[in-house]
Amino acid sequence: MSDLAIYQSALRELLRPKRLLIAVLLCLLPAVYALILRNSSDTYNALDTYNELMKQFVFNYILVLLALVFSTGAITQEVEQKTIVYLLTRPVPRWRILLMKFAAVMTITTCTVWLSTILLAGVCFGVGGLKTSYAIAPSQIKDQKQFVLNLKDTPNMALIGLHERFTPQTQKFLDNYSGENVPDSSSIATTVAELNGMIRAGSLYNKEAYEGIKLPAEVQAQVGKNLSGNELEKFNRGLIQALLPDTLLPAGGNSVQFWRDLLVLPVGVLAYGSLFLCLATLFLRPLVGGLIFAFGWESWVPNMPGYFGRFSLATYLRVLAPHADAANGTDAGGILSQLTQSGGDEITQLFAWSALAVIIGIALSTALTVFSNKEYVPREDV
Amino acid sequence: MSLSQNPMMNAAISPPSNAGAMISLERASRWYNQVIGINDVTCKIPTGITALLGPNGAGKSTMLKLITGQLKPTTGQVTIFGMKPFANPNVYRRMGYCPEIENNYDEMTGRQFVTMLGAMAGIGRNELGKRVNDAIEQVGMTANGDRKIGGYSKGMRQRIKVAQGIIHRPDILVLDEPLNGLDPIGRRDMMNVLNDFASEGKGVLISSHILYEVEQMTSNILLMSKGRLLAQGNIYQIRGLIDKHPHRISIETNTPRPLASLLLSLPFILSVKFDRENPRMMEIETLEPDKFYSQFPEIIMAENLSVDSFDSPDNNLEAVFKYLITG
Repeated sequence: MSDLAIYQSALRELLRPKRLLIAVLLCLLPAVYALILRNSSDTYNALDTYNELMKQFVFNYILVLLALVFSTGAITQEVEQKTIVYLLTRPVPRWRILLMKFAAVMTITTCTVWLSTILLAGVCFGVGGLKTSYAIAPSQIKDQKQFVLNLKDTPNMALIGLHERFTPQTQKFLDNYSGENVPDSSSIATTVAELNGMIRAGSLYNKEAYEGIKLPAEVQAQVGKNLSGNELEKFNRGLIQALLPDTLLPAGGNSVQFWRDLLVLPVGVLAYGSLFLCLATLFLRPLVGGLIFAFGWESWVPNMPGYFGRFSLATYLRVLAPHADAANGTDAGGILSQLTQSGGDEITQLFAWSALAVIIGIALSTALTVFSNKEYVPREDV
Repeated sequence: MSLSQNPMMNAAISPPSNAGAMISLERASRWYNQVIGINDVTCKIPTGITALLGPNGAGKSTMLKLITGQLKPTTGQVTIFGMKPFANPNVYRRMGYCPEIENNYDEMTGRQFVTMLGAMAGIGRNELGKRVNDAIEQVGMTANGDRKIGGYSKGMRQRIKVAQGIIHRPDILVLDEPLNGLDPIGRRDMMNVLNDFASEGKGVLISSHILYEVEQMTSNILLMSKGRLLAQGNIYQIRGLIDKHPHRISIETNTPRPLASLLLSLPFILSVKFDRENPRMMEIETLEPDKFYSQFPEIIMAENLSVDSFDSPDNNLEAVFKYLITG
């Protein structure tokens, strides 16, 4: 009961209208920006926009800023208002008080960054864009120029087979496409719609056409079977994927990216939150130090050469939730990041999980220990 | 001359019995770098109401913070029910604390505030509502319990603070300047609450810098000045010392000379002085302040004189300490 009361009171403090309004406005930013890009940019690409904004806005700024403000505020606000005396003179161990407050901070921060991500995904992919579907979505086309060129002019027998199945109007569009400009979205949409029609209509497999084309094992296993419905769509999508590996994201790509982000975001909140909570217990004014860490250290260190990147939380979060760069399709942050890759061993997911777990464990246990032993009495009050 | 060197003081003040002590300080000192908070304080606080008296900066707040486990002693020992209080939930289970601070979660209603702190004290959900109602009723806040604390007067804030301090039915209640900001009726009600609490065999430790305020509640006092415990014992012994010195009272009136003439005719008035800079002000000296305070209203009403204000520079502890220390 006492734990729940602490948690609820901390939630109530965090949900003050003014503070909540700022958090909500902040989390709307990526979606609004994506909306502007979608309606104004000719080169707009849904997945690229999502990746870029998730990486630059949500992971690098919103997550860090909210974790900083909410985590440090959990203690400093009570200390500044002097109301902390009410909490510290209750029959509850201090570490539990802090843990419950931190749980409230985690809840609010995670919900806010989740909301930001869901809104961004909604703008980028649309509501239906996140379903695991074997149909091709325009947003899964990584390079629209190359996509059309592949369908237009190819010595590949399988692709020629596909070309022949398009309607004359689409064939005309494909044949007339020069490759100079980005194809118009309505023609792309028509082409994709017709491809999806082919995917559903019947098997696209032709032994001679697919001779020499390496098919994934699960697709190969279905060759020769009498398929229908979802199985047929999955099989045909696998065939097309094998034909266009560089221009088309695998089926469910949006969904995978989105759900992975939702999974990793709370880990990021926990990691940054623990660190900032630790700062708040150690220092009287943690916000300045936190800001320097968040937007100085965390901006520079991940891009530094060699092993320096390992001293940053952002490095590990990028390993767990990589976001392809729009320009080169990697999660590289530029030349410096390439140097990072070459200067040290590549960080595995297991290492990233382990490193974050250790950082969270150390930061949180330090915060709890300090809070349990520190005197929170303003000098002017004694 | 220090108090310990004052033979009259040593003769007059005797320490209370240690029997039934709830709080114990053994040569407790607390320093903030070079600044002294309290210095080598040894005392035991029994059940009933005990007043911790001292002027501002005497070390009262430091002593209360040591007792309530917000601070650790630099040297010496502080124990409550035989336990060290710092961050000790077992102590807080048996102690209620009413701090001096003004801020009380202003966005909450008084009821929400008391409910939250009651729940944190481990009171079960089934019992919590009744306990909250009881505590709010005890401090006379039933009518205002559902208003936001931000809109409370200073007196209401004091009352709601006491409500959160008693909701978990502690064995001892520690209050830092709880009568500050209360009107006369509020003070009387608050005193009744504290008296009721103490009458159940529990302890109340109350700090104040106004002697006449706590005098109406208890005779058991701890007297502090400059971080040291000057005396502990019965307040009447202190008063006896004070009453050996003339008590000064300043009066502001538009009829100073007729009033002075009238007052000088009273046997318990020693002298009357006029203020050279303010002709409306006069200062009297008396050895029987109680008699003066009880008769003064009748005298001025009978003679149809007007008095704008009156105050005593001796009604504060600095004056008391001056008497006590200088002998």
